[in-house]
Amino acid sequence: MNVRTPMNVFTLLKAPEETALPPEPSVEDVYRSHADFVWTALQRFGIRAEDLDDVLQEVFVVVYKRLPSFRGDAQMTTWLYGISLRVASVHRRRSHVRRERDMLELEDIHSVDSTNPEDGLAERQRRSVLEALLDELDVEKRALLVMFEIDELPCEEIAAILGIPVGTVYSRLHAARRAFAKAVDRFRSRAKGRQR
Amino acid sequence: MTFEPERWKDSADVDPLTRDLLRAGRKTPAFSATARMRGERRLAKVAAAPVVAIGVGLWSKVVAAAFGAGFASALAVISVSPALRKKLGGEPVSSLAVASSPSPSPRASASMGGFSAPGAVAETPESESESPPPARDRYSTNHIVRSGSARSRVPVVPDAARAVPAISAFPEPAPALSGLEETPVAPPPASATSPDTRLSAEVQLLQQARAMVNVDPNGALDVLNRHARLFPDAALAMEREVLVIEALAHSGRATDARERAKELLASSPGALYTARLQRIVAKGTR
Repeated sequence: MNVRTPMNVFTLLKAPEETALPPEPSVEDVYRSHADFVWTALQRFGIRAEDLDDVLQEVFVVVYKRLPSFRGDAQMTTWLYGISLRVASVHRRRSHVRRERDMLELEDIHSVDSTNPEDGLAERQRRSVLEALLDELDVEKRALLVMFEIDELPCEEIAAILGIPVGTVYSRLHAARRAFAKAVDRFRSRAKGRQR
Repeated sequence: MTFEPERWKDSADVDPLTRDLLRAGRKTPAFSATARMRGERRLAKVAAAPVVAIGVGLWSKVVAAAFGAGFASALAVISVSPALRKKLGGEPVSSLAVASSPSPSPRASASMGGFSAPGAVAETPESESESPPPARDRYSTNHIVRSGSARSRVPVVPDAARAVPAISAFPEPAPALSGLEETPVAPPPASATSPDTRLSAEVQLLQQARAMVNVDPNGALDVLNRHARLFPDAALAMEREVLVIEALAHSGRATDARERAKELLASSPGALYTARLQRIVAKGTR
């Protein structure tokens, strides 16, 4: 049995030792400096506005637990991006039922529009369709496409966020675009199928 | 100038529907000040309850097995839903059981049989703040450990165990993950008269200490000292010890922090904070 030995009070009062720990960021510090980054990333991963508070908190619970193991090998933003990606993926799997419901709403939109989808969609409808098609992509591709095509971030900045070389951003962007183009094709054939 | 691919929404060579869809996209909204504040308040509660509130689902069995009924009942109290608390006659407080009022409601006290925490009436926070102890006693964490060692302490919360059903009866998500309510933090009650209130007061003091550990470790030790005096048989003695170790490390007393971290690791291996403690031990030996 491990018995505590009485500790001399004076040992607690001596001058700070040379081995004193350097100040490290607490989870509160990380929140203050990077919560906006995580918030934005989560939206790019497709987390809905009504879920953002909860998912943000889930991310910071993980940050809290893992902060001691963060060694600074990567940028803090890259580390946070990775955590946000995993939390968002889990959340999206959990909320697949709701996404299916969204797809039903999308089909309603199409049924209203019985003409050619190429020119029949109003702005608001286009936005709904875009959201639904982006949600068909995996979260990483979705975020990359949003960062480049919609938020118009330069590839250099995307590379810094992801912690990867710019060349890799190009190849991932290519893959994300291909996936999106396929989603658009599927949408087009669904709409045409309804016309018949 | 680095090469930048042309965006599809600006390109004439892209399928028109694809281009129109991308053009309809709105830029990602920024983080609003109100969302930031909401998140900050929720985070404060997460950070203040290192073991209790985080990953209860995953850890409840381990924790209950390792720390005995006292801790298990503490978890049960914390994860109980507000609705059920009402049914049980307790105060309808937030799911994290942070006391919103310094004095417990008479109804709660009566229904809990007027339970009084041992040691809780011996000293009031007010008397402490009026006459701070001499400097040499102030950071005597000796006292903290001896009076409330997580290992040697006997679980003394049978009333709590009777008052609320077992943890497994609450398949709700951990309060840290969702449903945290925003409860103003009040000073801890001088004497806690029900297990709930007592635990609330414990959580609250540890929250205070947790918030101070990085910025004012000596102040955090003061708070933890007070916790040890008010709750010699604390349900959250383990959490207190972790915070004491962190505060010692941050205040430059690496040797003491290391020694106590080793003791805690030896007595309670596999706890949620093992990584944190191991890191303190490793840093101290470099």
